[in-house]
Amino acid sequence: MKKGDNFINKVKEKITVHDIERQTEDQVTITVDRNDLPEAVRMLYYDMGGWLSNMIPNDERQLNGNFALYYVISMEGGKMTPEDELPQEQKCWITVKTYIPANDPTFPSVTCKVPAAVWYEREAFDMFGLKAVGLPDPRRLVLSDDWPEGLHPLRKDAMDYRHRPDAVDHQDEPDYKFLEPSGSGVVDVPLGPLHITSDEPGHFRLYCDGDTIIDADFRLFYQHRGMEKLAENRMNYDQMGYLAERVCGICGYAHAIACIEAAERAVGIEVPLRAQAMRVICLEIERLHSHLLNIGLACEVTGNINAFMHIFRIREFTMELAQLVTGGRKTYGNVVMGGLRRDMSSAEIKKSLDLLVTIEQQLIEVWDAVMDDKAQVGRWKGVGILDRQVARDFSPVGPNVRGSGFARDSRHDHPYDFIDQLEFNVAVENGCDVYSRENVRYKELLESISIIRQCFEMMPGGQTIIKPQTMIKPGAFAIGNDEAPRGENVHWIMHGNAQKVYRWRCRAATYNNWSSLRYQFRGNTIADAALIVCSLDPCYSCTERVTVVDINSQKSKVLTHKDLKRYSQTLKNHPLKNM
Amino acid sequence: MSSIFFMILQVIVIVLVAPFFDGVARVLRARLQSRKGPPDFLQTYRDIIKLFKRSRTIPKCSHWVFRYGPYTLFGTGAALLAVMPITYGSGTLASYASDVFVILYISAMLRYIFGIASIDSGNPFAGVGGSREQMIAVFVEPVMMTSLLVVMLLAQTSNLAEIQEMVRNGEIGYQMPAFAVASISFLWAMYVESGRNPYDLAEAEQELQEGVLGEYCGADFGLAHAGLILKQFAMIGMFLSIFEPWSFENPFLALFLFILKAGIFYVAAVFIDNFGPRYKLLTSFRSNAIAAFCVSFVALVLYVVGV
Repeated sequence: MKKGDNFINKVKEKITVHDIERQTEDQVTITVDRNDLPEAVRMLYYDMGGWLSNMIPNDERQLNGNFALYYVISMEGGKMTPEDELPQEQKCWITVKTYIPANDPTFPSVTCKVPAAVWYEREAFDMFGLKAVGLPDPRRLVLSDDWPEGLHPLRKDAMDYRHRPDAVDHQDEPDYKFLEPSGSGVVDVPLGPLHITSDEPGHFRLYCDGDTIIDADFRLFYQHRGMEKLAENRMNYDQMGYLAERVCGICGYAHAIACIEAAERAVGIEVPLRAQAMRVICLEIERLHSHLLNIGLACEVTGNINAFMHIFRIREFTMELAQLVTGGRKTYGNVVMGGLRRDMSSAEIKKSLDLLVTIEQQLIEVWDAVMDDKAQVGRWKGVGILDRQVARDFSPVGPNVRGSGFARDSRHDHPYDFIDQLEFNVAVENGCDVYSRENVRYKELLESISIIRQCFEMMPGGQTIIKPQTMIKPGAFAIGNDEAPRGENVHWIMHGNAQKVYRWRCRAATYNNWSSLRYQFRGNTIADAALIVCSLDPCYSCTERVTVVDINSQKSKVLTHKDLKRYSQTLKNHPLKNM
Repeated sequence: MSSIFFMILQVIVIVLVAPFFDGVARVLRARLQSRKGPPDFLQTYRDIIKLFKRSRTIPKCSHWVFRYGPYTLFGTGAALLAVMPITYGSGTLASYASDVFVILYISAMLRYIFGIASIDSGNPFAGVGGSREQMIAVFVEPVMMTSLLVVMLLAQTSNLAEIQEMVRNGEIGYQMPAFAVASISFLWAMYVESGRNPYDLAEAEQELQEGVLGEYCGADFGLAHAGLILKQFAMIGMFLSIFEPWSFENPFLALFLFILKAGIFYVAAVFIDNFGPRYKLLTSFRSNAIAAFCVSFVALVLYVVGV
């Protein structure tokens, strides 16, 4: 019996499964009728201990005349109690697939049974026009409010990427409907879309009674970059990695790895061990600098600039470490299909080990000082509670969910690369508050240092890259996962013709964390609002990789370098204005 | 008449010198935070000069209250400094204005302007910040009043210049337990009033998203900022003139010594405000305020029982 068969048999008892397809050893896809979809997802999610990891709407009209939906469920156990976890050899990914006929693009909403699907189903309507019937919250998620009705950018026939819809005048823009609590004395405190101290745009509405937040709503996706559309049919796999790492400025490497490994798994490439170890090292370095950033910010938003500055001093060493491993202060530009572009010398390894000692010492020192400060700990404790049941319903990831006592860690549940040969603990805290989340981050920092050290010590010899010779089969797809600093990144790639991507779905960690944020706000004071958002370590740019573009006319125009340069210097006569 | 001249002189000199001490504090703070910080002690001057070169941007929904806010803030800050008996003594013309109640009301006015200007800005965060500023007064003023009440009862006058003289001559002073205890609670009140971390909600950047000054920019911001520095100096000045009044007879030397002392207080506060996070108003702040109030109450009890 292969991995996942036991779950599929249980689903079969109640639901007709049309087709079972196995992508890799631990990735299975079952096809069900669209009316059975919610029940199938619910059974896997609640009855058998699954978590919603991704949902991919796909326009397969060129392939089989239908749209398709893929609900990717990570089978790892409900984890509500320590015993409630699947044995390691049973953990796998089960994808529930359903076809939606092109002439009737509707499907019954899964959100009614599994709340975690809410963002995914809202996005499915925006991007593909697939309507989830019964979805409790059918507002727009991704597309801007003035986007034309009935234009769904990720449909294959929707648009040409160079075009954009006519701008709507500022005063004619439709208003976004925020979910408002009713009652007298409720004060609406808007924050954003652009606010002095927010580093990225996001529009928050805090509904307050006096100083206490009774409810909150937020609107994101102000900065779409159309990356998924960009990748389709245009990029080859050598370019994909570079695109994926530009999803984020902090955890870019994690995206590159997830994306490239999704592609590698679909083709079945085995990467050399040395490259695997170095990929793990880079991912952990990224965790180091990202967690240090977040702990620093969690001090800074409470006014503790001193701790922030000292933590950033340590962070500088991790950037130096990244430079030793990849040649650049950021870990960019290193991952390609089949391995890595840069190898390390033994002198560099030795230097890195020394640097790790410094980082560890100073980290412990500063953290102890922060913990000694009762006022600081007091600001973190009991703030932004993520209730355990809310967490179970919304499938959050990363330190956010681990701070609420769930041992969800992609490295542990779905080990990739070199990870299964290393020893590490999953950091878990049970306080559910900001303090627990920051504590999880601190523990993970120490674990990361130990993982990097183990990798350096066990560093396998050999080359770091092989030339992938396998021909890629059109229509094949697979999941790539890794544990980014903010949580699990899940990428999904379906291959197309001519070595190009047919559909790339990039689900960043923060995407799964946003939908439960509303519950974390409730009952806290306005003074803590920024701290609560910060404790998720949200990455706006990660979440906002999609969108853009429209076609109104069929004209096209090639922009020359000269045009762009002139435009960037003068900002006059937009080169696309007359299209 | 010469006392009026000195009154104006002390304001002008302190206005000119105060940013220097702010610059010193910033350099010291940077060192404590393991960063380079400003190149010299003059950064605050450069900042204010730069801000004055910038244009004004005013929210459409705001009124004259918001527009004249910075001028009145600066004005009340300067007035507070003027009534501190630094360069003039009791019996002079200027000293009639130098009264505890005058000072309390001017500082209440400053706070009031702060509050209404931020509410008028239309920015909900500034409004929240403004209302918190008033809340702080609820906690701090009882402490301040009680401590000052003890001093006034001991001195049998509310004239600051006279109180100062009496402390100098030893008629009242630290030999009286009530006075000594009152100095402790007043020191706390002074620190809170000067609006620095952990009690600084005025510029509580992140938590309240740039706090009350959020909508000011350019010259307005520079002026409001300078006004707040003046207020801090005035608060330190008040503490010094009651509880540490020993100085020279010569007004110029007295002014010099005052600036030095106030500067040391201002810079030394970095050792408090640099460490730890801000207090939340209704939890940590309140418990702090209650403790301070107890201290001031002890001072009052000591006066009443007459030890």
